[in-house]
Amino acid sequence: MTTYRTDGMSRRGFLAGTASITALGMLGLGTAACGSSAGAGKTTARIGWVEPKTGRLAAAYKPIYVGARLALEDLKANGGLLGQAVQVMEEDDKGSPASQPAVAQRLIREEPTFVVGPTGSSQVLASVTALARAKLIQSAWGGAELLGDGDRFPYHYQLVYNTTQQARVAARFLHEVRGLRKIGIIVENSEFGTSIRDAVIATLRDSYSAKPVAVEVFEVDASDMTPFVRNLERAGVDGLGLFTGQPQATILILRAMAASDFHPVIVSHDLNYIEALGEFPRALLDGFFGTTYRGLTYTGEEEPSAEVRALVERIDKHPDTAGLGYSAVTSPYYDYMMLMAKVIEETKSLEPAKLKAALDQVDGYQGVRAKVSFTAKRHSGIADEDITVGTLMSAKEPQSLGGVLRRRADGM
Amino acid sequence: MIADILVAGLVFGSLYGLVAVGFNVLHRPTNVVNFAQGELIMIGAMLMAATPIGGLPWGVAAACVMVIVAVVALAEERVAVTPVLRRSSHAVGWVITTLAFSLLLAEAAGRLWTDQPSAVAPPWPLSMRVQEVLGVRFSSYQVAVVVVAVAVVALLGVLDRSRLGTALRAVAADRDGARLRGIDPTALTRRSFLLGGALAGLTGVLAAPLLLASVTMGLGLLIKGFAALAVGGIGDNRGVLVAGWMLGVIEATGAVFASPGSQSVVLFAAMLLILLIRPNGLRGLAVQRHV
Amino acid sequence: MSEVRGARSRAVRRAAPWLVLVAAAAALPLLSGDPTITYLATTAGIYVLVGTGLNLMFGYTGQVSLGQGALVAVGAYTTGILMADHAWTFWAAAPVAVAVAVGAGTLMALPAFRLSSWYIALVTLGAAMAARSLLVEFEGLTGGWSGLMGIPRPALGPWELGERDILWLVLAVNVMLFVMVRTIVGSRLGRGMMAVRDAPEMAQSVGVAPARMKLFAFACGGATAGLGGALLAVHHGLVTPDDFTLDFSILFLLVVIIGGAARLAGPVIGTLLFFALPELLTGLAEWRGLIYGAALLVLMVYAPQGVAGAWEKLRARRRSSGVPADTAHTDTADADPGVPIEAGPPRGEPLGVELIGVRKSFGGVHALRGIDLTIEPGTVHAIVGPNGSGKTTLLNVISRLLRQDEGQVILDAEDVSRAPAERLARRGVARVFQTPRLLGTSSLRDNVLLGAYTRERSGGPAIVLRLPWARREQAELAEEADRLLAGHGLAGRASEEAASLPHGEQRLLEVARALMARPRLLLMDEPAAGLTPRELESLGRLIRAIRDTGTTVVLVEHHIELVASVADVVTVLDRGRLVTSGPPQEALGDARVVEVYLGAPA
Repeated sequence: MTTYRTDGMSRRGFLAGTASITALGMLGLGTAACGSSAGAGKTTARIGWVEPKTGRLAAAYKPIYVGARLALEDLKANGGLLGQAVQVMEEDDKGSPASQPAVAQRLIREEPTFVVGPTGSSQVLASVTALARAKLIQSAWGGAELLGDGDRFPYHYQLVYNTTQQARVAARFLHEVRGLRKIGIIVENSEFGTSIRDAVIATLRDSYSAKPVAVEVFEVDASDMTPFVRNLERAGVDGLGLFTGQPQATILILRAMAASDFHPVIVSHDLNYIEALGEFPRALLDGFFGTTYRGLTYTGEEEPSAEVRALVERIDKHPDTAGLGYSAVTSPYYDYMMLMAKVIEETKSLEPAKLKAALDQVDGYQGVRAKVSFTAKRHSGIADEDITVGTLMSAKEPQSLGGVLRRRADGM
Repeated sequence: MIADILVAGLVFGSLYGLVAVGFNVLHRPTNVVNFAQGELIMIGAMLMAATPIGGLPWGVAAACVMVIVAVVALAEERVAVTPVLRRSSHAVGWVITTLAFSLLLAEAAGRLWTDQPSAVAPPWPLSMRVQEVLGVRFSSYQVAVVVVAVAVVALLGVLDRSRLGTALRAVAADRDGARLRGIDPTALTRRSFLLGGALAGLTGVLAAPLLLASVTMGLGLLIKGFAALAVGGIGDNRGVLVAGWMLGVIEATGAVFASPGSQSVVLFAAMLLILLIRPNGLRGLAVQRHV
Repeated sequence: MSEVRGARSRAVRRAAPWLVLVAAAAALPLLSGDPTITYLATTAGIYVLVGTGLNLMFGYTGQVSLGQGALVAVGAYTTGILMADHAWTFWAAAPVAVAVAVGAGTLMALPAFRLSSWYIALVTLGAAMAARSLLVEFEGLTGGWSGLMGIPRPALGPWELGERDILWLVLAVNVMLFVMVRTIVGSRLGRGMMAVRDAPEMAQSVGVAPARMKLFAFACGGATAGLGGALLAVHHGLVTPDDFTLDFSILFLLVVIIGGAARLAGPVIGTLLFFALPELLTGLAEWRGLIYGAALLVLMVYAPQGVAGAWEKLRARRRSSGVPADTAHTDTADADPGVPIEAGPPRGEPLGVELIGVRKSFGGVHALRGIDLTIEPGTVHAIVGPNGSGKTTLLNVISRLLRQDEGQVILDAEDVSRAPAERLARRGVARVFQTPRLLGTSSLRDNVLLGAYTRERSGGPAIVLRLPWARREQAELAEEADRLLAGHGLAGRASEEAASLPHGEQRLLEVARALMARPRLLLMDEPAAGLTPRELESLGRLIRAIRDTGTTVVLVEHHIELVASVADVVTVLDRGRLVTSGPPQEALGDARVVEVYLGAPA
């Protein structure tokens, strides 16, 4: 055997050596980190908390967690959960579905009593799937109907209306309340957009034997909405379901409508009033509605509850709200935290299994936004009658308490 | 309908073309394709909408934005490009460093601003109001965007024929060799980044009224700019502008006739086809380097 | 006997750190009951796998891909569809996933034949975007945006693999892949890849077909990505389009570059540093993004060759500061280069060349305007002429690196007018370039071995499987290369990096590489440029010796004295035309030649 390569290779050997030493060091560090957190014992009640902390959209998610932070303050003021101090285990999911499995693994390690978040349709699906086997009670902001299936995800509780409920209310508003017959749909190409499109089409078919006259799907980063809007206009659309998580897409669609004086009645799913809306003619904006929770609306006769008003006041004061009070108040996390606190007090337990049993019995719990009920099978908790439609421009009315609440649309 | 497609294609294509022209300006002396270009443009657009600058008269605001973005670009050159090129002008470290810089910009933007898009009004006397002339519907601002894009390319063409242009070409061909001929590549790089940054700022300023200023706008523009760059040919400003227009028209056509999923496939297929027929870009002028 | 044991113990020492790393990773789930660690280790293992494939593509072959994530998606979806919807076992689904991903990778490579590397990057980026929207578009097959759920774990009969077992599976696959890649990189395949990366024309001249090499590299990248995807699918239990964003594709490029491109340890270090470490350090919360970006920036600025590259440099510096730098150098300088050739005889009879009416122009410049020329086998045929007379163009046409616009090139009675350069190399044509084109980061030995690219008989599979005859052949060729190096005064420096050689010795290395091919026709482009008189003399001797062993030599040269002393026939070119051709005294004395060189008298 010849020895001709040894020189070149020993260098690689050394290289490998450092690599493995670095690796071992890091792994050791990791194990040590886990050891310390796992060994912390059970003297505190832990809450898992999934919130995007880094990335382009980090600031955008902050208002959504304001409600949860307020609830947390309340819990702490009341002496924690069952007299135990509350410890929040915050996990950064970067707002991305891909990072959910890793976040889920960390949550499993932390053994929290329950989990808050994540937020976003695709993120939630990924997170809930990854946590399905872990038996961790969780509520996230994702509207997919699947997420409220108690058989499929026995530990996930949905405290937001799902896409089917939302589609039904939207279709009822356009078809029944406003009596519109040429209904169009425009959605973004995403999990949320395509599922609500399918739900609206199904509702129109099943409840009204009707069909949308136009269905448009746009890419999330589309720069020009004109062609889609022109298609809607050509189809003679008079009532439009507009569903997107991208505020700029909504603005661009409105702009294309304004350009050709095309003013259909619009039902959206976001009623945040942002400055960019200022450029549009009032006629267009007056026809802009959105699905929302009954508890967050008012009419000429009906005032929102004192509880809601108090919460709105606190939300407005919170620095994280950053003008997005509507997002903050529609978020499910305040109701969820308060419900968990109640269930924990009642069962006198922090055991997920016992809490699950109690949650499955919740019937008609009055949250600030809506009534919530669960059964073992049905984890989609929002009562149908508490989902309604609000007007966008009521954000400018004094009754909206600084643009947080919305006037209920006539006939809802 | 064809007129609508052409208008949208030309207007948004001009933006894509401008992004690609920005790549070219920075690429010349450095052989670096700046992955942070999209975020630079985003910063430009967001600044245009942000309060202290948004309140100024449009011209002043635009100038401020261009200066600020140029300075950010210069910072990028200082920390992310020149240190890498100094060590080796052929290494690929710049991919990582410009990417890292774009991460830092995105991170900073995520802290400064929420995801709420802001509308920016076009400068007087231009407006976004759509007029109809001979059956073609467009706004005066849309015309202005196309005109500015063409003007930028023309101006860069003039610059290219100047002594500076010659020096840039020398550095592009051989960074180390140029130094021997008394050209300082670092100074040229610095100037190119200032210019490229200002251009990114301008692109952001132009895009803000059309696309709305939002923290998420960078990535989309970056990718479309890449496509225009690939089709038009690296180093060919006129080529990338024409390529931008082509992409814009293809995109607008796709929006009308194709499902959203197949749109990016159509766009990709078109890009591939053009590249296979003309491997050196549309006009085939791209610099071929043979040692 | 003791030498064998020494080699073996060195091999053990070499492998030891890797073994420790693998053992530590494998022991992780046993040491820590924490599922996070197992989960992260498995994910990191899969990323290393994909990164290693990309390293072969990018690091060694120079093909930038921003679409690796899409290939992983192809593998993951194929596995998911077959396992979740069609109840296939993992063991049946994974090979299909690999095959499909190889197909996709090869498709992605098609533009690579015509485009340069950064265009390829943009094309692969586009391919990744298109692939992702197709995933959504074929909703019936892929589940649209919701993706595929409920992908079962792999099972062996009734026994379903647990999380730990998947980690071990991933580790085992990694070890196998690592050994394979190491073998490939050290073999003719690896040298061919690096030649395509560093000097495509030189690659062709030694018989490497760049298109095939790129295809092979993309196929390798596709295979590892497909396998990684298959493992990822069963590791997560679900696949969704959101898992395969642009960031995901870029992560792999980042891991390879940061770790150290073209270094075996690169992807491992990169993954540990930029995937595993950030996942473990969760405490930094909001600052993580900024720290991550800043760390990337700083690392790349101070370690442009990646962590592995920086480490190598550090070690090299430490070693050279220990030993006086120039001992080896002075040794070889004193060695007598009088017995230059240690290579075996040419592979066959010397080859003759005939050019008929060859024309070539670049844009408007006519480099060759109709050349008819016969080069007799077994002669030294010099081509001279002033700058711009078309000498190098002529050489490039003969070696097929350029295709003539008109006319024929006949090589030993065979018309090669349309043949690519790499085919000529296989027939025994070798080339020495005017400016040395070497594998700068490879050893001298590897550079010489590259010359034997077409001589090696063992095929790819035999090399990868390390079959005995392939290893024997490699050992023999390595000895021959060492002899050649010794013959050129480079003995004992076989393991040094080629880029560290001074210019003159780089040229000697080029000659050694050409001779390693045992050529029947040797094309030399200005070998005398920049040589000292003494070196010039030995070059002359060398050329004659090469001819005497039965090789035709075509020499493009400025140095008239050298030409006069070694050439059998001299051809003079001027502005693309043949002025004269004949024995040296006759041709060089020709009045027209004097005129060409000194300018027209009137």
